[in-house]
Amino acid sequence: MAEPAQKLLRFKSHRNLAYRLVLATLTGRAIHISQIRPSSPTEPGLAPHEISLLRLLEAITNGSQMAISYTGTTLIYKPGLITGGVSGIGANGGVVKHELPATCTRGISYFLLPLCLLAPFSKAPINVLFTGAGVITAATQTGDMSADSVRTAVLPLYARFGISNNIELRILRRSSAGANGKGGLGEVQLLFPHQVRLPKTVHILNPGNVKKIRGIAYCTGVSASNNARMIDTARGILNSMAGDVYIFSDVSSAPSVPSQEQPDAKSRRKSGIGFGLSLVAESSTGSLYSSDVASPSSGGVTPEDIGRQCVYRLLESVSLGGCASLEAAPTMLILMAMGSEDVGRLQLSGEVVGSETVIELARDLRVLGASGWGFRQATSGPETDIVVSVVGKGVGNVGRKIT
Amino acid sequence: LYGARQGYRPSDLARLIYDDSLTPAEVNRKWKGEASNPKDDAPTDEQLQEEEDFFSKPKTFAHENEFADTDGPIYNDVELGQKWSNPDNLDALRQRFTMTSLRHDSAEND
Repeated sequence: MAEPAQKLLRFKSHRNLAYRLVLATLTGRAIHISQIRPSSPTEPGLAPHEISLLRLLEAITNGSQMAISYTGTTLIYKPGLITGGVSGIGANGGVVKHELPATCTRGISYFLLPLCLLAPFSKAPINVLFTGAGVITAATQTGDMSADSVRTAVLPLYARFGISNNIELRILRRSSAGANGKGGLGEVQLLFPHQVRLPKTVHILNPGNVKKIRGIAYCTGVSASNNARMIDTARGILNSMAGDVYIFSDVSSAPSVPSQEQPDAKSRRKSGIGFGLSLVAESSTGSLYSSDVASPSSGGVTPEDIGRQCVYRLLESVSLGGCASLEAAPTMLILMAMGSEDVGRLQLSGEVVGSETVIELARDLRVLGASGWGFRQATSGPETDIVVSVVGKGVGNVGRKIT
Repeated sequence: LYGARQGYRPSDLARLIYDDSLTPAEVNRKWKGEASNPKDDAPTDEQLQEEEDFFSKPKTFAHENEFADTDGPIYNDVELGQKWSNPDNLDALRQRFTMTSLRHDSAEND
């Protein structure tokens, strides 16, 4: 394009890196991020999961340029077009195979959430297969949600924006976090074949009441009784709150790799052993609240404790109010900001709007040229609820402008 | 002037959120009205001490690393456990669930 070279937009620190990269890609602005963990004595600069995310961006875009400084503390990213699964660029037969390194400490949702945000604006359908020694499908100690929660609590939100056709998240092989919280051996495939010109403008102002609760208890490489114990504890509390509670149980064996100590064919090492619970509460108006707890890789926590903690977190999330939980708020706000040049409204809990993630997101959006958000008191719901008005940027999908 | 400020006022948030001189954590605290006591404005002993040490001690970015870069909220499970094992809090939350009246009545009849 014959546009004059744009000035690099400058950001600091590693915070919100994933969303900054997503926003830069969507708006087509080049960004410069400095001071990425500059004072860490052992691991300065970009972490393995962040490098992996950059590689993923490279695979699903065409013409992206990135430069990382020697120490990894500075990054320049010039985004290209989001092409998705166009053969020959990053994909093979429409499928982009993305391998995560064994040093990855973040759950797969760290990659899925940004990827889902880019997918509606892609030129071709997105079909990414996450594989390798770093795929953790369970929730992690680093605070990432499980792949189950992404499927049940985040992907349904896209329907609100008119993006709903055949979106699928397949958990092909489950894995909990491996030793020291590093790596798993799971396999996850995201199919996102619904591309749009612009997401619909939404007005979501009624949180509604929670009408049903669904959950998935998963365990990998441990006895299925762990699932039963988590479900029993969780239902013990939830049954008195909601009438419609159903928690699924998913038992799978732990993925294994050939042992490194004895590299003969027979000995294999199990990896990613653990269990966890994902709960989602759905309100009468379609608001979703989710919570996730998984056993730490060091062990020593009973399934009862996991079940109880997960329920308490769910209740806390419901009690905060608003139409989106903190996990889902960035996704919704970004889709609203990328919508048509119209005012969309979303009611959020005061705790969610005032959270550091959302504040950071508001600032990043402004730096990238979006207009400021408006805030007003909500007329329904708890007193601290705030209605956020977001004016869309009308950037939309460059690949689909001419049809 | 800012003596008894209430928290969670939308107009405050519009002012604070785009004020780049504050870190997100500070915005969060100010908006909730937690930093309304005047001693926050006056330098504390610790801050004075820090100023004295300015040339000897490099400023660390510890606070930057503390902020976990996650989407999910950081829960304190001990506090949550105390809060939600209390039946009064559970009862208060029942109005956010459908079928509350029905359930609640049946629980009382038991």
